[in-house]
Amino acid sequence: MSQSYDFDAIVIGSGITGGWAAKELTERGLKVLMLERGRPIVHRRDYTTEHIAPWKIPNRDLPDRSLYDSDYPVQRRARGFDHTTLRFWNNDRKNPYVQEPDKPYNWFRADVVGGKSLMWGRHSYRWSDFDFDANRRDGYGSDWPIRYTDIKDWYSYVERFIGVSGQSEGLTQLPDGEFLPPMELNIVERAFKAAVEKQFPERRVTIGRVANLTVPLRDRAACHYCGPCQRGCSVGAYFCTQSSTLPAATATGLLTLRPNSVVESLEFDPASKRVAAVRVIDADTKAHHRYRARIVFLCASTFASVQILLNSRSADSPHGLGNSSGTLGRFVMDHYHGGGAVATIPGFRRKYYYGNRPNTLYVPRFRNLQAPGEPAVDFVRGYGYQGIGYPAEWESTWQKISGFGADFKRQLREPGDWRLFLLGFGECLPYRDNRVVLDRNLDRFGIPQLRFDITYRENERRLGADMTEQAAAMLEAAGGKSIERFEKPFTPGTSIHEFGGARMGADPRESVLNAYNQSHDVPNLFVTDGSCMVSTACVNPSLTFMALTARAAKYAVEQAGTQVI
Amino acid sequence: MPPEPAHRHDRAAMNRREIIAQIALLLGGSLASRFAQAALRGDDLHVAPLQSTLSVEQRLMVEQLAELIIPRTDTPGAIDAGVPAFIDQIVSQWYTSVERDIFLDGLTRLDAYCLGQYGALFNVCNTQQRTRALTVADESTRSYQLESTLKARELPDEHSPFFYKLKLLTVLGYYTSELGATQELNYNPIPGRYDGDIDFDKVGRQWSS
Repeated sequence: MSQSYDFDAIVIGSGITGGWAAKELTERGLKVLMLERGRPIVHRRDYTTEHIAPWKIPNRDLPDRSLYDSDYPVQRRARGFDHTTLRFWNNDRKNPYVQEPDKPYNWFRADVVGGKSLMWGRHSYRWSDFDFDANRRDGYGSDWPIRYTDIKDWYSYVERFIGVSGQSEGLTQLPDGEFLPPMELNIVERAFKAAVEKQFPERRVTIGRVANLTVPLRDRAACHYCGPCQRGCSVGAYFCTQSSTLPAATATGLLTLRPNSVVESLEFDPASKRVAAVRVIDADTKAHHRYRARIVFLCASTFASVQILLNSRSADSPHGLGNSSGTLGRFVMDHYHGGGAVATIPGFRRKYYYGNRPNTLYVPRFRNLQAPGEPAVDFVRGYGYQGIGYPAEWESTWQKISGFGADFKRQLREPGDWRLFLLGFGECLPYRDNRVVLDRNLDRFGIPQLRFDITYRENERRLGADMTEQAAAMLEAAGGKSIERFEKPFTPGTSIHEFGGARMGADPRESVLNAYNQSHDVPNLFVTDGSCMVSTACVNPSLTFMALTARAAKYAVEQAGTQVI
Repeated sequence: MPPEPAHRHDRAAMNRREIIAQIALLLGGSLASRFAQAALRGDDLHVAPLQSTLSVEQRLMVEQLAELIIPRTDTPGAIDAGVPAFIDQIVSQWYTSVERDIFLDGLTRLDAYCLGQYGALFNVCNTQQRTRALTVADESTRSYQLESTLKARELPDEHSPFFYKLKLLTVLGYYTSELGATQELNYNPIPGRYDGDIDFDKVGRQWSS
């Protein structure tokens, strides 16, 4: 049976993974339509707040409370959300979602071309087999269908293209990547590192591995340390769709980008058992469109992709597309976030820094590594920390300098004591009843809103308690004073590391996708964003999402070449 | 007695030049005083932002208070840096009614203190008297402790006391102003490199952002 297609492939989403799918598929000769629900943001032209002077920011960046309350009640809590980035973020009033009453979940979303790749924190870490083997070893969740050896070369492939600066450390639990020269730790962080590694020889403190260039890469310039990457970077010093994957895809001449395109559902053809078309609603005109393609890459971001699949119901797929296993929407996870501590590190008052480093220190996982003699703990899996040493500056020291007048002003010229801050990211276990489902309430496009039903459980709480306690212990080892522990975790979702809902697996009865992110039920459908994840590890996941995407794209093209799909 | 907001608007009709002349006299009659000079030049010290809810006297109090907190020294002061207009804008347009009431009540209390101590309203007291009045307001809030920092740009507590609000807005308005950020502190938006270990004395002033 012959089919006529509008495109060889449709990529849904233009963020971290969508951009990669578009690049890989076009570079392999496919004519690709990339659909993005959000508005255009054009590299350079639309970075209107890049380098904005503080006196030009509305209300000197005091939050626009009434606007944030009405339109951004959730997004306002996100790292990187403020006046200067507001236009990148989803409007919660226009595009709401549903939370179970006693189970709050912060669903942070972008609503522009580039997605969260514009605002992301850029930390890029490889997984190890501690992570890929975790479910099998302790029995929570189902086994990953791949191991580090399957993805290792794809990590290299992605790192070489996006540019990741970092320091090789030779740690099994945090494999080294193909790094550009590392950024430096500052003097207080180095003192912290020395003290921690002396007192805790099995622990390591290193510089963050970030997708910021420290040397030029192709036509992208090295970072100039201005600070807030999330406002956009005209020289392309950090990886985002606009700086990297979109230009690569565009250069092939095979890419069509259609913003303002909300994907309502995928149209399944029961005769061919394939996705036949993608149904789109124009975000501005509400007009309906339908695009046909041979292959579909669903990269809308974890929960958005699951929503599209759940909403792609039909007589053959009453519980959502590709859901013969019943696991669609289930086993969703994020990172336990918010444990940690901060302390004053005395003795560095005459020391300062130059430049605003868009990076933190990183403390890799040291728990549950099956190392001989390692302390037993009351939880499984592990956590790592991002952290930073910084001097207290006028924004906080003004409160500590009493009085007013010339003397107050003079004292504010100098920074206060240095502080060192550690914030943990903890692995969350896969629980079957952590899930998202379609709600009765429709959104403004007539699409059922997503309802979140997610909580942390006992293992997360115990892991979180250890996260805080160990942060305090390390700060104490480094001479930290007035140590302040962060006892309460942030609301789930706050890490902005979303996982699960369409997990990979070898067994089609227990998973949605196979080892190549291909739907078990629908062979021309690939899902490569965070929804494919079977567990969370404790490291920032975007590098893994990108590697899986590139790997799946090669496989998809090969399958298409052999006419299998 | 009409409610306070209406009363404030009535006071806006008072002759601004009269007030300025009075201040000049009480500052020792010196026409060298910046206020008087500026008034004679026709500088409009008391230009209200479009939707100010402050009266003329309140705006003048805000100017004097901001300048007391961050005076001109070897670098520009709060008035030079446009801080009073920023405070006016925040109080008038950004504050909730709770916050505005606390702020305006604080101004009223300053006047009450000055009347009681010196027999004159704040604006026509001399520098020492005004400094003393503000010091009393400051000392009454010393025990008020807060954890949050301005870097998060969230006003931590709607109910924070007047002096805390005033000091916060003056500091924020000053150090994010062009003059404050570039002349009092070091403004370096495109550093070009990162060095995590320099002697503070080599730069001498904090980075403003």
